[in-house]
Amino acid sequence: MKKIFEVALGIVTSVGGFLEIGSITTAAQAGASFGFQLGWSIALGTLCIGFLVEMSGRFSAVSKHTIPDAMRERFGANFFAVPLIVMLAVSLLVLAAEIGGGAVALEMATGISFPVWALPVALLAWALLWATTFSFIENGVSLLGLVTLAFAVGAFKLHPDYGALVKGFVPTLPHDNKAHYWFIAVSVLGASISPYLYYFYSSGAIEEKWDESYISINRAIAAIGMGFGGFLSIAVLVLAALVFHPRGISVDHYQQLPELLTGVFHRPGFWLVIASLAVACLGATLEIALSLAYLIAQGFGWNWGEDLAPRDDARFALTYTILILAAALFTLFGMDPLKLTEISMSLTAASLPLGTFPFLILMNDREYLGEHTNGRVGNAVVLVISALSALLAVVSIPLELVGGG
Amino acid sequence: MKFGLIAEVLDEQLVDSTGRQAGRVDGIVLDLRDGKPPRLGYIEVSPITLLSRFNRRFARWYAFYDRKLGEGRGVATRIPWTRLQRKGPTFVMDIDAESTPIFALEDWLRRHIVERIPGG
Amino acid sequence: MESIEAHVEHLLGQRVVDVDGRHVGRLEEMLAEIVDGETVVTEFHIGSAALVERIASFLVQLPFFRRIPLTRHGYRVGWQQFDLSNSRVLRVNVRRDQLSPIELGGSSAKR
Repeated sequence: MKKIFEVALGIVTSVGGFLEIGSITTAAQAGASFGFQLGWSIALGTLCIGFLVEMSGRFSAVSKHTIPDAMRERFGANFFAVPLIVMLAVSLLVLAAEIGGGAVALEMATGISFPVWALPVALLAWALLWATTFSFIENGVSLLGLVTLAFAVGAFKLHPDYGALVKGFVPTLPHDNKAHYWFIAVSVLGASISPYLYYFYSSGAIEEKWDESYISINRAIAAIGMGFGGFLSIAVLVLAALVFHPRGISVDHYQQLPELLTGVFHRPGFWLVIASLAVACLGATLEIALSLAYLIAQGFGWNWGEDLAPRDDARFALTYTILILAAALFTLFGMDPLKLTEISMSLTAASLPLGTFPFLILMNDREYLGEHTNGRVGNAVVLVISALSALLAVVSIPLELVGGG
Repeated sequence: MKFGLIAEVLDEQLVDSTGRQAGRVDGIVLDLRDGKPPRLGYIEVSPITLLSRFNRRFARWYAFYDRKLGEGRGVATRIPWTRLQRKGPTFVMDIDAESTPIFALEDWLRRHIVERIPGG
Repeated sequence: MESIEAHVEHLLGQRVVDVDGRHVGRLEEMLAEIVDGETVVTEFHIGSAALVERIASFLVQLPFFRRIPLTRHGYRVGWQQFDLSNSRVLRVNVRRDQLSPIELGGSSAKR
């Protein structure tokens, strides 16, 4: 019975934590500019992160190592430094975008311009990490994240052409605006396949003291949680496709996002979008800050753990403190959160191979996983992901310059 | 039973006699002797050792500033191989890490910063 | 008896040459064991096969692994054949063709 509760909780956590500024924005841009045509990019991205999250949970439950632990041990400090530094830099940008998203939500709610909100948002996130426990954060903030279900309800109420939507899951080539099409596809993939997510998940498994008996639970959480999260992204795509696309409007400013739900829910729709944005960004801020602090602490072998009081893991606690403050600086100095989101999502896509390829090696190592190493399907999916990521890496950066503008 | 120094010792997690995580094996020191196989002398736990694996100059700078923090600082902490035991995925040392400089930075940060902030 | 120190983490990845100066490979692993109450290094593994052995030994299970060139170059060197006296140039004191090769998937894999 307890395990069923844990599965439910895990799913809620995944769903609540799935949507963040990247997935909301990129899905909205995809729907506004290309209707249902980019549905496949969300589907593919969701499939990828689902597999990675399942692998990450299985790895930690069986080997009792987190991914950064194993990366340093198996590959050595000299190799590990490369993905460490790249992930730190890229994830810091994503963190900056999330804080920016929270600030923009507050701007829309109060009319006070967003740079003012950078430090309050950062302070709130920091205070939650400093004073509470892992379970409180995971469960509390993720339950709040269920407000994002509003997007699904809104999408249903607009009665989309489901046939056309399903057709969008098959990759098609764009008729025009090709550079922009691929740029958004790349951003969607970068938003869905976030390394900090599956790294965080592995530390979470250790925090929750998972063992081999959790393998089935882990599979359920990964599949249902990520699947449902992807479903919510599709809902945003549908809303944008029905609200913006027919009028030929593209999403260039955050202030446009409330329109996704005001048609369906009128004034409450405005508040639902703002609440969704605020909670989603707060949740992501907490997750990314923790994920990076875990990465550094585990890489160096420090004491770590969100359940410990900061006095017992001073370096770990000060690491996430510094990260949140540094990330807040971007928004504090007025950098446009939308630009920040676009840049960080495509850089995430570009740097994916650095993380997934070594991870694939770990997932086939019997010393860590015993008989629970990857099957051929798992390996094939991650290999394809890595190859796809490499392709994106080559494609996304010039596209950033041509298509992103 | 042969074991690999790179695969099974270097970069592994260290735990001290009280169960606290005490860093990683950043370096291994061998005693080279004429006519005899090299002997495992010490492991080193230190940012100085870790940095020297990337750039010796950075390591020297770090050591220079570390020395200013107190007596006995500025050099890597060495744990004799004989004080270590393998327990599962980690190496356990029969020393309390508080008696070494391993937690010096952690303790300094705790005293001067963390404990001054409410909720710490 | 004079005793000098060597750092394993700096020896890792260093180029090794044979007695004629020919390139043997990079030092990728050192095997240790207890001999007469002391833990000593008795074997050195050199070359890309040694790297594969240490990091991705599962490759050995793939049906086509022998076609991967990485897995074919590697040597096991006993401590008597290995000269650590000069840390800048690591040497084996025999010719390359006299060294024992690493056979991946065979008894030389130490796990």
